[in-house]
Amino acid sequence: MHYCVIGNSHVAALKLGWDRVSAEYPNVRITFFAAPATEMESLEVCGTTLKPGTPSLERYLVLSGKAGQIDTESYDGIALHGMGFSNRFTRSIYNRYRLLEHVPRRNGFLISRDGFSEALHGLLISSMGWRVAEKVREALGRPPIMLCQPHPGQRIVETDKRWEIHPEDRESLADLFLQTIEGIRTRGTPVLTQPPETVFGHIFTKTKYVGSPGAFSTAFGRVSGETDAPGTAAVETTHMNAEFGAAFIRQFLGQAQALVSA
Amino acid sequence: MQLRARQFTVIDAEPPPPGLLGRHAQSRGYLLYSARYANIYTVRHLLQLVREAFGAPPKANPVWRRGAAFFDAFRPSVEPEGLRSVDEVIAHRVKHLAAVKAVVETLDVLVFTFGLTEAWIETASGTVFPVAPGVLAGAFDQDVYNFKNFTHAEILADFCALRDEIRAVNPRARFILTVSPVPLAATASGQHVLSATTYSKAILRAVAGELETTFEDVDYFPSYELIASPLARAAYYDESLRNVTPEGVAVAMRAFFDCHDPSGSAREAQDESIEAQEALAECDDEVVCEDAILDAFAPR
Repeated sequence: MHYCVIGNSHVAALKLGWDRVSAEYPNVRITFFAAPATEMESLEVCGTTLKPGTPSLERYLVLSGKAGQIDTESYDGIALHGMGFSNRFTRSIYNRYRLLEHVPRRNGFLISRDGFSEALHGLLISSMGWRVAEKVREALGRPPIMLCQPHPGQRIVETDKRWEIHPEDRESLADLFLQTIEGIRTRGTPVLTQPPETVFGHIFTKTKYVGSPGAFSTAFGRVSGETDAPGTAAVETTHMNAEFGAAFIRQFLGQAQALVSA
Repeated sequence: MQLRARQFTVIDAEPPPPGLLGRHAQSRGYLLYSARYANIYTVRHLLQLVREAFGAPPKANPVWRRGAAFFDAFRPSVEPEGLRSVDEVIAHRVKHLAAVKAVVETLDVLVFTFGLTEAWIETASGTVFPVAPGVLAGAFDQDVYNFKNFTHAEILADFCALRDEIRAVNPRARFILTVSPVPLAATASGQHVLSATTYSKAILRAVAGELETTFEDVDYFPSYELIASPLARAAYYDESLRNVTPEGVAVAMRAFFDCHDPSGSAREAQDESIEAQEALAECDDEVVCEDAILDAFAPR
């Protein structure tokens, strides 16, 4: 089986994880196409092929996937990872809206569970990941498998006040996220959330799975002229490590055939 | 929506969460009104809402059921699938009333469309509902609920009371009244629907006119005439002869902006393409209307 994974910097962890576990899957090949930030948004659909819309993206496609374009018919399954398809949207709604069951706050609006989930669905399908998925769907004739962007590392509460979510509300927010994801699955798009063993406090990723800056260049190298971004955060909470990637890849491969044929 | 597009400040005390856009937001009562009170067809309903927002407890049970779901009886459409408990409905209503109170306290101009004279009330308390119990939720019991066709005198008195109560907390408040040009789809008055429509529109228009001539702070905007007048040759109704077309909305709004232009930008705005106005009107056209629901599910 030959799978293709497309995404942004989050793909680095999957690539590093695959490097660790690939020996366990002698009959599986995975080709990764990764480009930082929003580069992948410029992909253009040309029949069954996805072509880079910018020279920069072309360089990243060649760097990561050893090809300047993505021929969707070459793979048994295509998965997308990262690109904002994540539970951060749950947090962005929660910052101003709460369910009755949530801990009361001085400010903020009450919202119904259905209203929250519908808003979350709206945000997920406005993400870059979903927009790229639409292009893959157009080229492939069926939706790709969405591999959700990892939850932020548990230490994000130390650096980003927006993630100061009351501990009693976290399970409810996780349920809302999963309920909304289930709705997307029901509408025909396969979605995998991160492996349960990697999750901390329902909405975060355990620190042991969080990576360090520079994972992208570790996984794929650098395009010419690229340097590390200055001012890298002191505490990495966004990107995951090879151990996380290995767990997610194992989970993906355990279900991939069923998801592809569904 | 068109007011916002023209840079008018339209109060929105209950904005939608991020991600809830367009018709998805509107179907939950967002982006259509200054708070999520849904359609208010009668002056009595608006008076009742304002009184409740300022502390008068509801005289009727505000919670209706449909299956396992619970609904706010005074705005059952804003949660299409209902809420999970009576407590949740009450909690949402308390927050909503706080939003309504804030709207009343801060508004400069209240735009209100006289929609209907006909309503359903709880007989014992006189509490009015926007739709008949049993349509969207609740159950109709003829021993509890009754049909009410408000008279000219009642509507006039209700609006005067409403005006007094709003100005008591917000002395700068002014009012723009319109009359809905949408004819009745059905009537419970026993009259033919054509007669009932004429009767209803005549009363509403007469009340609006009397209020305009009586109070300096009340203005009447003739969208009803622009759409429903014989001069328009019914050109602004779609094939149903009830729904106003996007062109009709555009004509009415153009006339409104000619009269009400605090920024002096009406002339520039008027030069906008008709397509743009129609696009806006199309959006307005998606306004959720219980009247249309009644029509769709009415026995034939």
